Amino acid sequence: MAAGKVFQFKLVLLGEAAVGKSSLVLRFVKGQFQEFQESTIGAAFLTQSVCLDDVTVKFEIWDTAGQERYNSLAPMYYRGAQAAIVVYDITNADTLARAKAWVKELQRQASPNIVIALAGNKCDLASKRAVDDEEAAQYAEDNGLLFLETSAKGAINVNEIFIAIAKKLPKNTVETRPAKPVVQIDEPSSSKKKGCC
Amino acid sequence: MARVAPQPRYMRWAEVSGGAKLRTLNRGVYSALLVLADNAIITSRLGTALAQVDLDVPRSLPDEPLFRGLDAPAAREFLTRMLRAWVVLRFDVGYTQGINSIAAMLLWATWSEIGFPSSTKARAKIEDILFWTLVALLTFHLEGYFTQTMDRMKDDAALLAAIWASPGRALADPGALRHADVVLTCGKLHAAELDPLLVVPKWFLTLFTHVLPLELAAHVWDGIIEHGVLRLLESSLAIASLSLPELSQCEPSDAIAMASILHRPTPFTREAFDAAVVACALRPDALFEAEQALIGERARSHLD
Ligand SMILES: Nc1nc2c(ncn2[C@@H]2O[C@H](COP(=O)(O)OP(=O)(O)OP(=O)(O)O)[C@@H](O)[C@H]2O)c(=O)[nH]1
Ligand SMILES: [Mg+2]
Repeated sequence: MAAGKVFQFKLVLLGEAAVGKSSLVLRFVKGQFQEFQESTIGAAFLTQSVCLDDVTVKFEIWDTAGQERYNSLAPMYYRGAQAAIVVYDITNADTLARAKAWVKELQRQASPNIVIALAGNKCDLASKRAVDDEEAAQYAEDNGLLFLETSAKGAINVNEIFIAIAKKLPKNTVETRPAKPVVQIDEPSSSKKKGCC
Repeated sequence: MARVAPQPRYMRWAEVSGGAKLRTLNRGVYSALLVLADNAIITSRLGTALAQVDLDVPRSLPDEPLFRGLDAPAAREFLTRMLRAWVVLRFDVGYTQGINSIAAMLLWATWSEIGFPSSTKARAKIEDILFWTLVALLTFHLEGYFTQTMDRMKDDAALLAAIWASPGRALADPGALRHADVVLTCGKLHAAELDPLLVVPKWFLTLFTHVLPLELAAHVWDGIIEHGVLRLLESSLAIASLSLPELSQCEPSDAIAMASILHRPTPFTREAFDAAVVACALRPDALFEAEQALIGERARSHLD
């Protein structure tokens, strides 16, 4: 397969504490899972690429802290993001309510064309299920979100959700880089050429 | 003359931080707080924080042998009690993720020197000492960092941005051996327009326990506990300057790559840190000027 163009996108993960955001990233980036994953303080940054047929999509992943009092930092994290994964835990209905609030905030405040995916994580814990998957799917459809139930532990649908996002992201611009994360509005954003991954 | 055995680190931290003093002023309070933490009225009010504590205890420094080995169940209960007591004592502040790692570090430092206390009596005494050291750290050193709005941390981030922009004005000793490295580092971070808020939460709210190997973090704590909170800023400058070789390999505008390096710097020796932190000594008056500018800025933004 000829390596085609490389597109880089900023992707942010949002959701209540301990729903498994970092675990999803760890699974996607390193193929690993940790029973006890340190809580994320502030944000963590990682990159990983997905190869589609003729293009490579490189994600700059911003994994954020879920605890409510870190929320005031969130706008800085999702600013300029072209994609978001909003995560809830299927064994805890409150986390879906929080996820819906994140979706609303993103739709109001984030980039207008942001691609949002909803992930119902910990789907390996089916016996403790507290959120009906059809209800979540319906909510996602009504709001134009991608939706998958995932398990970072069981490696279920983790790559799939990133690939689904990669497919949905617009690839009409020449090799792109995400907008600068730092507040800097006036400077024209330079679309730099990036080498192949 | 017989040599006096060096005081264990946890005792030194207790004394220097003010924790030992708090403890003598509050005999019996710790166990009372634990009783309160089980009271139905209290749990109905502080339920969210207490539930978050329970979720986070197994996730606190999870890679350390202390929390994986034979002592792990007892260590987790120890940590749970300290955090529950904190939530009841300071319900105005509550529980912020990061506090768990700071409490876990206190236990780790003790354990790494004297092992896990085997008798109930010894355990109870050490737990009391560590709890009040935690309270002293969070109150005397880090007041304002863990509140709902985290204003103090945001102010510190703004201060760091000001220091990165003009290190020459902020650094106290231009003759220090590593001065040039510190200035170069500040210049790089400033040029990349790295927002300090991308790194400061992980640095300050875990007191470097998520950033450095714990032995090294404990050494950084020695300085912060002894010299006060200014040392927090100085230590962060020192750690950044020790990553200069790695930072130099980033594209000059790649703030995110730089932030990733600062989240997990390549380990360095204590000696290297000590030399760097000397060069990072800040002029208190320069900070005062920067603070005044910040206050002015905030006032203006309120007026807009
Ligand atoms: N059974 C199961 N457990 C999971 C799964 N994903 C994560 N966990 C566990 O849930 C806990 C929290 O996971 P994290 O990935 O740290 O959650 P987070 O959303 O990043 O949490 P914060 O950083 O605190 O916001 C960890 O102990 C994981 O082991 C999953 O798919 N299945
Ligand atoms: Mg996380």
